[in-house]
Amino acid sequence: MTLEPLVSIESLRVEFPSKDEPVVAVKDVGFEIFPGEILGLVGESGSGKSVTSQALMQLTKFSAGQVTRGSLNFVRRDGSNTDLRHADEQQMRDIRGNEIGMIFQEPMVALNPSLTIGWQLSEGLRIHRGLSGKSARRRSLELLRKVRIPEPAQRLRQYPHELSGGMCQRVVIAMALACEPRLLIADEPTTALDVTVQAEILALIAMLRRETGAAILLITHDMAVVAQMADRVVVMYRGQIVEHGSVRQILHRPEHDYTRTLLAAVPRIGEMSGYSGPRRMRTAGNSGKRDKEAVSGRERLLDVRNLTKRFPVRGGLLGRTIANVHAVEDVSFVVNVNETLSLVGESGSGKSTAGNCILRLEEPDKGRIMFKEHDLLSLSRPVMRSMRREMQVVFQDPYGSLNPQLRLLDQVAEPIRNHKLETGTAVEDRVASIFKKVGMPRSFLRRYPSELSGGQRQRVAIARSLILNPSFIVADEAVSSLDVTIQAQVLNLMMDLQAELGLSYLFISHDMAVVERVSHRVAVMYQGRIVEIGSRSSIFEDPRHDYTKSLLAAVPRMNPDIRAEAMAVTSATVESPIRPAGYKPDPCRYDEVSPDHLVLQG
Amino acid sequence: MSSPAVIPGDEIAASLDTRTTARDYLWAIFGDRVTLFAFAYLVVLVAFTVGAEFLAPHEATGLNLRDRLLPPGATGSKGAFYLLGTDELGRDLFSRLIYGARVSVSVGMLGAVVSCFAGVITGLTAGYYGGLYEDVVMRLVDGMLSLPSMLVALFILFVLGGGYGNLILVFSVLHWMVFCRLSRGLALDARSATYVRAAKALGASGPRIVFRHILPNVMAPIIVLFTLEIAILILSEASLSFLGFGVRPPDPSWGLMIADGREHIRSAWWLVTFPGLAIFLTALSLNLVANWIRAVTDPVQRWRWLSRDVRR
Repeated sequence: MTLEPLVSIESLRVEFPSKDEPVVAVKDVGFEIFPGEILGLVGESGSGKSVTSQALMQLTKFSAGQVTRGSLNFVRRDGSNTDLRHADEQQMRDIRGNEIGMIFQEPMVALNPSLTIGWQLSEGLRIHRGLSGKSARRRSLELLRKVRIPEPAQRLRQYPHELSGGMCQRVVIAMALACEPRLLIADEPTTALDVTVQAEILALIAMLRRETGAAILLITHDMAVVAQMADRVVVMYRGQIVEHGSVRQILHRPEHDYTRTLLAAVPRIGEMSGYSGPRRMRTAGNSGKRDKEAVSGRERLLDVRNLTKRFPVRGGLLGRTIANVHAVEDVSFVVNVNETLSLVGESGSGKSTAGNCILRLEEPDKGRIMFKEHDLLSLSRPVMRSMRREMQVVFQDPYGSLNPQLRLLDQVAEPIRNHKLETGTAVEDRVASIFKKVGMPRSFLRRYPSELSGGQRQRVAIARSLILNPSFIVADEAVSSLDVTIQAQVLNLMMDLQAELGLSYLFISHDMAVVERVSHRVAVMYQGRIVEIGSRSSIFEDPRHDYTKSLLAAVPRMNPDIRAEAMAVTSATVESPIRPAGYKPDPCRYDEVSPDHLVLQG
Repeated sequence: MSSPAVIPGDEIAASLDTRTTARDYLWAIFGDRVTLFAFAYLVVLVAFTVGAEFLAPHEATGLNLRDRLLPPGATGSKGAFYLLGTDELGRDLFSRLIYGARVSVSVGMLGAVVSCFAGVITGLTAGYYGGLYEDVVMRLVDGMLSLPSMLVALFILFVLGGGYGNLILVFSVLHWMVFCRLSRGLALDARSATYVRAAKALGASGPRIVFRHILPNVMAPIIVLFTLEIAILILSEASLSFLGFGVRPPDPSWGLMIADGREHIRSAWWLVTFPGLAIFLTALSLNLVANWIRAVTDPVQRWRWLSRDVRR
């Protein structure tokens, strides 16, 4: 390439002060970004990828980080070179938002909730371009058209909470584009979005790159997103660059061990055809050997019938119920012994509410839940509490689900003490043996949750749910917030425990590729209803419902030959599950397309 | 010198979040002059309240009419030294301040303890259980908060009579709502936290969730409010005693001392100045300490206060 690089970073080092010695978050990092290319910066949490991009904008100082070595050369619009490490505040204000635009991970948080979309969009134009109110408004409208927002004129007067997450991200992108920046930094731009919305946003970013010619620094942990979007890839690990090269080179011929581990840990959708049961994930030691298939039992463990949960929306003078959110609507399914049933769906589909209702963490409005021979909804509270020995839950957030003030020993021993099963040293022995089972050292028993990493915390949460030898576990997005390599380890742990202890899982997830890997049977939820349920192979190889098909199509593939820009830039509107108070929904009726494969009618 | 260890992102948080030892806290107090002063003042104050008999140079109620209204630093008739002077009955002001601290501080302290217990128990349970119980408790709180507290205090003390025990009773009745409202808000917040849902799913009973899981996690703001309430109660005690409805003479209390001294304010300025200064410094120190506790118990801010590198 004979092009001049737009950005060249050389031997960058960023340190954070801490209690003892400074922590080096980024060490000796150097790469270049050329005009008009998409550079993917990949790594797991703690790899220093976000810190690197923040150093470009001099944003590290807000979190007390200091650039202690290296240079960050940026070619300005007028052709002059500026080292962003030494640029003063005046220069930086001129560059931020004007020559370098930024797209954040959480679109809802990146917008100010108390200002209109129009005001926020035109702010940058007024500051950097000195546009008057009227021409700024005209330009804002133009920008909203550019990011393909339906009814743009109306959106200008709206507030962020009136828009969906995908819409908000489009607004954030429009804001970043407002001053036609030469470089766009996109920090995990689709991580917080549903998979169908993610596909739309990725296609949009790819298209805008073609239209505007801006270079894009795409920061992500998701290899499939990189495969679809990036021209070149930089892989970071523990603050350093381990490998860089073209996207094909990295995906097809990775050279560094870490890159290989990272790629191996990503489940690829469609790779499970021909198998009926779940399969362990590939990890560093075990790459794709054919495992024995886990066979599920035929004995019924949990039978859910016509489960319905509505949340009232109150309003008016007397706080009457004026509408209902139909979170779970007429849902029925069966989980057999030693089987994993996955509930998949996007945010708001009611999958977590269904899980909570089964555990009676929320009281369902209607329905029947048979667990073994007990009718759960008719049990009194004390009896239900003792039933909780049999059914446990692992939550998504490993940071929130452990009580920060309790030692791990007390944390895991909590259920034993609640049910008064053991006393004295027997408690500690039992906790230690379960720790061994989930691969945690005994020495951790006296530590506090804040001293653990995310993966370790999730192991503790699993240990806590296993300590009473339950037969059924609800895993509510249990691996969604973990890095892929950790995710693979935790999933393997869960599958091993299933084989060893004969557990049944209700696996609630939005990640189709993970679901394909771990499930015996799959139920797809949309707007509170199950739209399709069947064996794993029938859902993934023979999807019948339109929603299942679109969900599967939206999953990014790990193939650099399928590019995001080739996809259509659409913007689907989502139907709301809020209905007026007297609304009587139709019951769910299903067509049986093959034995045990049901599809919602209509 | 070895180069610093490479610990990226996630582990930065973990390394900053490691448990702090008592030494770190001590260091942080000594590193901050203003807080150090406030702490030192409070330590001396507590020492005075506990050991008034040993520390006071004279008796608090001992009359000596020949040494009336002596200025600070004066030497009396029998060669007695009066550090802060004497009042109109010839009693040593410094000793009376020390004995007065016992009354003022312990009334403030006990009043705050009782109202804190009552308020936190009702507030946390109301926030966690909700329902009719919550409605009843919170409406009661709203009602009591809208009463003019000083007038009600005067009325109750008028009916029951003044004195130590009744003061504490009045303060508890009129101040538990503050704790109740705060803890209810904290419990509402914690109720939806994942660790609380997890505890419930593990079969923990309601009281166990409230007091074992929620309470330790919401202690910090409660401690801060507790410290501030002590200061407020000391001030209220001073006002009530000043008006003649609090502690009865000849027992000294700071408010009473100001009330007695105001007749001589032209000739003997020290009679109102020193008790006033004591009240002011106590309230100020408690506020400063509360502020410090809030900062060091906040997991996000704590490391800044406790970190030696950043300080230097």
